[in-house]
Amino acid sequence: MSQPVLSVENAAVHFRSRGGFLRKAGPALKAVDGVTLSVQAGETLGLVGESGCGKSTLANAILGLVPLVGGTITVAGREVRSDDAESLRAIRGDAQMVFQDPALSLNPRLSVGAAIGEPLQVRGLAKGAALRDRVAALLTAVGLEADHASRFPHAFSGGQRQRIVIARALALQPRLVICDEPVSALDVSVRAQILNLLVDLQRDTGMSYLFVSHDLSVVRHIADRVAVMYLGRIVEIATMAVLFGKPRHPYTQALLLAAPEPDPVRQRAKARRILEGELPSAANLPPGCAFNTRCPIATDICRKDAPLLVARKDGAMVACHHAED
Amino acid sequence: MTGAVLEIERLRLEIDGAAVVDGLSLSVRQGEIVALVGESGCGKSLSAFAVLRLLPDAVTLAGGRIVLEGRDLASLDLAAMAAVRGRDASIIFQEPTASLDPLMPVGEQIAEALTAHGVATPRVAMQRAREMLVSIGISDPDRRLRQYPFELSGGMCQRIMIAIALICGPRLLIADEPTTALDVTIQAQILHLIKELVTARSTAVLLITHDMGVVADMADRVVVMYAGRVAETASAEAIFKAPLHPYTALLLASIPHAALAPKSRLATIEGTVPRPSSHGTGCRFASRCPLVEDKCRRETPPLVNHGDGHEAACWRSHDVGMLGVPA
Repeated sequence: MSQPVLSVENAAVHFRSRGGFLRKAGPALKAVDGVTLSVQAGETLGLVGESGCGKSTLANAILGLVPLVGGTITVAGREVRSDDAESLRAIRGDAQMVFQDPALSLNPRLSVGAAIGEPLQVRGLAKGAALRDRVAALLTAVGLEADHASRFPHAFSGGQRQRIVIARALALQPRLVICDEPVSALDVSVRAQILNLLVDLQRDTGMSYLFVSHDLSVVRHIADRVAVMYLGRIVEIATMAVLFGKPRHPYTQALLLAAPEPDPVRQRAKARRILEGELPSAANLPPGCAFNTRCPIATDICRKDAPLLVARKDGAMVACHHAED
Repeated sequence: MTGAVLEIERLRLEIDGAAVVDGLSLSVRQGEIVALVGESGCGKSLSAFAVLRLLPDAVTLAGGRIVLEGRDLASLDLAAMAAVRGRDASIIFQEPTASLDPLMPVGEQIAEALTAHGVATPRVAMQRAREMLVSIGISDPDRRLRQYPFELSGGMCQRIMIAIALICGPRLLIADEPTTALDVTIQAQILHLIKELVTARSTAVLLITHDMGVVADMADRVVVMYAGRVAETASAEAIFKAPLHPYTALLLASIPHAALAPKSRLATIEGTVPRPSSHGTGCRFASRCPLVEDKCRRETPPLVNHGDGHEAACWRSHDVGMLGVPA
């Protein structure tokens, strides 16, 4: 297999509350702990999990926005070093990010054309008429008009703003775009437009996506493979068909059961096995498997030893002592 | 209709003289869950707020009746309305943490719902609050009663909101996007809890949501709003199986679901919702509708009953099947 576009090896991001005069520093909050995954060229990897599971922290770490305390991340063969501005500059030519809220991702005082052209200008890749042409081409590629370049973000709807953010991310022709909940703030009909656009752009350019989302129906639609995170760790990673067809980790199973399907017949026929309890604090993880406090099939070993991510026959990787093969 | 707890008739809400809700009629029967759905700005939340007369200052109630168990709430004065809120009809909101008083232990907030209506002394009210927490499956209720909202998770805060809303035994519960801010496993817990409680108490529920998955899970009947008007209303089964308004059909087809091929093209609705100030005659969906014809731009389609209470406001209801909506 050719070199992956993104390779994350045993990555760890810990946060620590600062101590004070009368207060000791708190325990490390293990936002991401021992995560290994890769994304191939042209592939979409879905990354799912609930709030606080570390999926956004991992996305930030890939762009060097938060430092790793362990492990390595390489983008297109280059190691991401958050303390090295030169390497970050290079990485960000290959990897770009699209955030959840397009209103917060755009500078309200910068015209759309200036925002989209800025990465090209900063790197001296285009100027003058060439820059204008490039911006016009990017606007057209995301389904907007070339003459929108002179307008400001407030003149656009939420869906159009997300198109602008996507155009900006594409300016440097990155090999990887990290989409962090890119459609969560949008209405359903607009969400469909953006998902269609992302699919089309990938088909045309062959770039890869790391698609971070809490919405399983969206991930099922767009991802080739899916990784499920729980409290900083990957609990299961498999192809879309295997993960949705034969989920093995009890947390994956619970997530799939909990997500309501827009079909009353199927939804009401689903088994009602509601996951009890709430997410433990990432600063105070239970010993053993982090899921053992909510797991319906946990036994003694789960409270003692953390399970490793083990490959199964069909290629799925599952971190559970009791999951079927 | 007999047994209607809430009956809204031709409700009209205006901002600066422009109708943001225009002729909304719906009813919710005892023990029934009616979902009011639509995208941002369609007027669904304002309609819900209007029932409890919680409208923002800019919005005026310009017409219609809101009948709760035979009483027209639209004509009540503020004092009479205050007696209705929390006792006869309650509401829970999207952001549970923002709905609770951050400076008051949650036990007192639950008990206050009873003491404010003078139905219990503080001591009895606190006892009832404790019983309420037990009945909604909260462990260690004595500790919870003393806690402040910041000490609780979002899911726990929403349970507290539900306890406050239901402790007086209201006949109507309005739930405005009650699980939108919550994670999916917590959402499942809260939806299950709401369903259990309203079934046990035969409470009528008006559920405001944009999530068709939640609708499929919870609703008996569905009212779809578009640009301030009812586009379609039907049983949950009928609306998913055979929508009769192109807006509903496209909305459903735009949601990714299991039966679709991966990465296949999702249906979209081109254009944007018209502004309330620009509403003229004709169907409000006309500018975005793939089935539009001249008549749609000229004449406002009335809500027509197609049998079994399935109503749609569309001149071309019989052709909606052509849109190729997956069954």
